Amino acid sequence: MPGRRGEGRHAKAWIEGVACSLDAAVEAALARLRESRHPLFAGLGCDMDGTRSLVRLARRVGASIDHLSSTATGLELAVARDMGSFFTTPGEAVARADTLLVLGSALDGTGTELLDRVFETAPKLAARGAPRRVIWVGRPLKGKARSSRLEITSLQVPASQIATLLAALRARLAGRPVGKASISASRLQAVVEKLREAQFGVAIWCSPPQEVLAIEALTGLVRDLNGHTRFSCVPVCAADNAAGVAMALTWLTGFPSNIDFSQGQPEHDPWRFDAARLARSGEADLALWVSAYRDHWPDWADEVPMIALTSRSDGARRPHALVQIAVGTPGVDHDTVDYSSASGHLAFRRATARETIPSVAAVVDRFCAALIEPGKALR
Amino acid sequence: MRPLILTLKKDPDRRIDLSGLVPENLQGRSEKAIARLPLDLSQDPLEVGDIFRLRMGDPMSLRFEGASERFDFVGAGMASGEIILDGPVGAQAGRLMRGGRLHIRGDVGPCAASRLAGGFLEIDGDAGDNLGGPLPGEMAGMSGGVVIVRGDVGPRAGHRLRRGLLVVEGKSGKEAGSRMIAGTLVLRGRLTGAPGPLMRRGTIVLIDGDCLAPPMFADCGSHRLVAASLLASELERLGLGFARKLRRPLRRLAGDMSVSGKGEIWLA
Repeated sequence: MPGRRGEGRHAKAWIEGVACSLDAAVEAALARLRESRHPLFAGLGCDMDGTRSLVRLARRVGASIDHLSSTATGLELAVARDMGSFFTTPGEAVARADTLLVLGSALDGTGTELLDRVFETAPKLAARGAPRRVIWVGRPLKGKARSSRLEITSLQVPASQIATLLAALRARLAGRPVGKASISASRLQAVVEKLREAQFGVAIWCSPPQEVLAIEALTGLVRDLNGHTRFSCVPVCAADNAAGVAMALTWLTGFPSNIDFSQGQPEHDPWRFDAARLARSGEADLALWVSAYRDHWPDWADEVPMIALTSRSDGARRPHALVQIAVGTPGVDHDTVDYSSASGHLAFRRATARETIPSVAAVVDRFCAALIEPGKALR
Repeated sequence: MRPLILTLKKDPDRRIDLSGLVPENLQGRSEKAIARLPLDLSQDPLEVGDIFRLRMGDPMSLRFEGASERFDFVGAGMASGEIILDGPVGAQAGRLMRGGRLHIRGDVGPCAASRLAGGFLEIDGDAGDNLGGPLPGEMAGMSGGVVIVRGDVGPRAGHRLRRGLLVVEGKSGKEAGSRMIAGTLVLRGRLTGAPGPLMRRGTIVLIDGDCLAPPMFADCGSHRLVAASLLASELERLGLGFARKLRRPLRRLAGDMSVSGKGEIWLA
């Protein structure tokens, strides 16, 4: 079905750096997958369709799966799982939040989009008419947010001190004493009062977290604040559909990342099934690297034979990939469903510049189809 | 009676699961039956006999001659008997151990002593991250028993410790005793960063502690605590000479104030 799934005849593919047809590249990749003892699927920069196909293939060949930003996503999920948390959507935050607690140090391109929205608009459904209060923790605020709609309190501390500062706020909220903190006691108390006065407070941070401890401290603070008022979190997720892939992996296997199928059923271990570790230790003898959103390669690329499904935009072929197949960018070359960090849920996006280039799902489905051999039991 | 000896024939080409090789699981099995026990259930399976040469003896006393960083779950779930192992091992050594004695004469990987509930685990080398801690999805870490690490440990030693005694003689990685629920963590060597972040209850003992006063802990002054001399006796019984320092007055810090303030750090 050209267009929808984007299977086309003008694909770009290479075997050991030499251009070839898509069919030849698929055959070469299949030969490698068949003889591999422990394949590793990493990167997983793809849409929901691609993730489903990759899980199907991983089950068949007994592969390990590690998501591109599993460390960041995994840490965040771990905190929510261990401590429980209060979440809201970006839309609710924009419409209702009268108080924002922002961990500014790690906000990158993906985070600024949401911040621009909350900074440039007034909360339409806020209970209070006053300007939005922003408590900005971390790196100094640059250029942004000079708006008269905002009342900004900036707490400038180095990234390593964020956890301590949040813990100090939490201690003062409960009325317990605090030793020497990075800001004065009166300032600390003033911030605690602001947080307590919130009628709809939202804590925002970006997914590659500064430190897991900072997220733990923040989650604890938000939990305690809910004893007084309403406060919730909006983590701004990592790029490359990280949150979407984590969701799909969870509903398909029970685990968000670092999954292994070699023993027949899915097994989860953040250390044993870490892509970089598997590649460097020689435990994985083949990697299938998927990065459909951007030209991106792992720093362990030279340490394991690799089949790469990468974004078409990369001009330079990587000669060290045994097989490389150019795939379409979701939402550009083909229609897609992936996670939208603007709305906080999965969303359909129509192709903006439809091209006849295969999607990740189309290529991986070809591997799956070829690996089901009648009469041969493949897990 | 002679111990049962397993000699490593060749390094395994993959990670293997040694949780089946614990004394109570080997009792009453013949040499042939032990050699057929699975170590890996992948499409190309591995059995004990493929990796180890066996010399039969009393399975309650198990010796491994030679080890590999690819051995996971060494002594996992053991309830009685003794395992002595020469060399390094991988992840989750002593996981869910309930009794008996496990002695590893080498380094161990991450999550050693994870949720250990009883028994005695001794590690002569270094230990990785999350010593005694829970695995993803579990609510608490070690819940009993005694663990002694002679070398250094990675970050988050004693994470979510709930009961039991964990002693580290070497250096500790960052966030030692993070989110402790209860139990005792004794750290002898140098620390990275402040100990006990977000701890709820429990005791962290810093021997020769030159710990920077963590801002979330309140100084409660110098004391001669009955509990300290009881702990000293227990540590001396385990052959740890530095325990005598606990018989002197020690400084006590209470915290983590952001959580409940019911935990404590002793500076001995």
